[in-house]
Amino acid sequence: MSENLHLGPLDVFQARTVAVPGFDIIYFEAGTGPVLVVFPGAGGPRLGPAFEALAGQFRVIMFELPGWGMQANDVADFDGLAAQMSEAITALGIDTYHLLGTSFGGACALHLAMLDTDKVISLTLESPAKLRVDSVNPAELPPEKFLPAFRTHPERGLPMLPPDPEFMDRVWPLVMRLAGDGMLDDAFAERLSNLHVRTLVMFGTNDGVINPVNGSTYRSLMPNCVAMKVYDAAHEISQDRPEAFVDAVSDFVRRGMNFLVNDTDRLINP
Amino acid sequence: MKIEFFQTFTYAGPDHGQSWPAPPSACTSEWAAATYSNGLDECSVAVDAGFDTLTFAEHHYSPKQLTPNPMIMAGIAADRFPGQQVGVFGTDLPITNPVRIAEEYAMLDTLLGGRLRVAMLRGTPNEYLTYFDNPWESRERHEEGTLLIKQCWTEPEPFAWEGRYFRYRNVSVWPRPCNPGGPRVLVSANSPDGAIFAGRHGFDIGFSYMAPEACAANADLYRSTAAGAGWTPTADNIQYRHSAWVAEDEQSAWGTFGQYAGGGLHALFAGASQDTRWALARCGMAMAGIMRGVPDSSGLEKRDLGDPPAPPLQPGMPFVGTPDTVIGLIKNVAETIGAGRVEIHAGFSVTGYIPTEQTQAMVALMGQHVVPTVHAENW
Repeated sequence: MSENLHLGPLDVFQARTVAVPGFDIIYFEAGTGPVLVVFPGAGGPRLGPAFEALAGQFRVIMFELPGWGMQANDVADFDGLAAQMSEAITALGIDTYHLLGTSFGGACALHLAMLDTDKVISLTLESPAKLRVDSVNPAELPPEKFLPAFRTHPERGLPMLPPDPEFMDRVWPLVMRLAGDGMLDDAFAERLSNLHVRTLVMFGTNDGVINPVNGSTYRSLMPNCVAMKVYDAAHEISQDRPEAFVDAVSDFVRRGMNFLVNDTDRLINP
Repeated sequence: MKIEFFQTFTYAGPDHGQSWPAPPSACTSEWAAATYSNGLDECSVAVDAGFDTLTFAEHHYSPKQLTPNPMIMAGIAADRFPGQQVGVFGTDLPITNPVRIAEEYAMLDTLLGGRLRVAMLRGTPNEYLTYFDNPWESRERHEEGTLLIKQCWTEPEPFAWEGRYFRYRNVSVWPRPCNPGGPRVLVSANSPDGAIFAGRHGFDIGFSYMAPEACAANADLYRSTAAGAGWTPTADNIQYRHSAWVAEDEQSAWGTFGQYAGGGLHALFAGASQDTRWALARCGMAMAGIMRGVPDSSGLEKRDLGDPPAPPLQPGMPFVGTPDTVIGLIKNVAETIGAGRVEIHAGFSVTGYIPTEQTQAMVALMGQHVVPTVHAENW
């Protein structure tokens, strides 16, 4: 575990390790109940209040993706990374699970959902980095634009610190190799149109990294997908508006597409 | 007997989207404008054909009916067709702000000089996914909201409302409606609850798409409840809605109707994922009074949910056929239910848009044979 990842306090989550061929993968676990597997963004695992709250309802397992630690990963593409993560999840004895991916981790989660179609019950993509039309490479953002691209409310959630040069040197080539150009080709469009897992795609309205218009593409291609825009949040929705993030994610994980149906009691007085 | 023309404003463009809700990207403003223009032209033909009322309804997120706010269309139609009766049948009351609805109908009633009738409806199950409203509260919000609106139209002084679902501390609606007490209000009697509510409070009732034989018991319930409340509904208080297509021969009528009717009401949501259709079914179950704690079959762990149950609607025969056939069907409605108003819409456009020339010709044909007979008969 690199020291320059902004993980947040570990007073709720426990750090553990699972071995898969070539890697000892670190993961952070808390809570009981239905399993919610979480893949973090390219910056590495980020916990904080949203995931602590989710751990109050689910067994949350946030992985550090292989290659983000000190062991290099020469995997060629997202399908390969997803296969590695499938092995890690299986090694934990998990059969079926809900899957949440953030940004780069969202792209990996999307590929894993295509791989483990019989295991992934629901898929939540927070600012997914798979499709990146009209988006920016955060490594190329000038310092004054870096923070607002990620956070509308830096006073909430975990602090947003500038990227660590050592970490960037070590990890960013892998990120760029896997992320590709972010454009949609016919073959991937076909794969999306055949992915029937219930999916929630979330974008902050202020996302300065990945243009929220990409959410519409997922919605138009995926047959069982809701595209949600989270008002007043930037790229890190779960840190910018943790309460809203937890409400939406937990409702979707618990109820699937029934989360379209409002079952909140509005009775004022009997 | 009166006959009313329900204009649904089905989107005239070729692309109705392949999912539910239909993506807005399928809609072009040119086709949308043509939809309204053609629809008003069809209304014009209906007026010339002798239809008593032009009616509009609230539906959302669909190319099948482009009137999320039917009041706008009612205002436009009223201006274009002076003297014509106009009905808004109706407002999806549980998903709206009732005081705002009271204000808007008061405006419309004033502008129309008393030519307006309205319906306070609960809406179809899909409407509860429009503004994220709780379908389990549908009936109670509808009843409280309807009675609150009547208060808005009749209360001479500013008032506060401490309801079960609505709370207003300061209500004072301007303008006052043209009609004392506001326009006539219709509620759906497709369920016994609606029939009883209408009978108890002096409202009109309406049935839609159900078999007349299935409506008869609720009509009786309405009349008996009204009697208990001290008033006697007439046939004019009872309305029946269904789709229609008239042609010179049966084969032509059913050919055109069937071409666009597709798989019926259920087919409107065919493009939705199985998960979403289960959510819709859940709304329907909620509206039917099934408690939210009752498990449905959409358990998260179940991989293949199967198809959701069909709504428990016993559909009636649409008014399709030769003029004589359709007159017979309308007569059956009048005699079976005691309805004095029949409301038709031209075709049932599930699979696409019926060219306006065809619709206008059909409406004109109804004006030659069906409308005069319905007016003349006293079934």
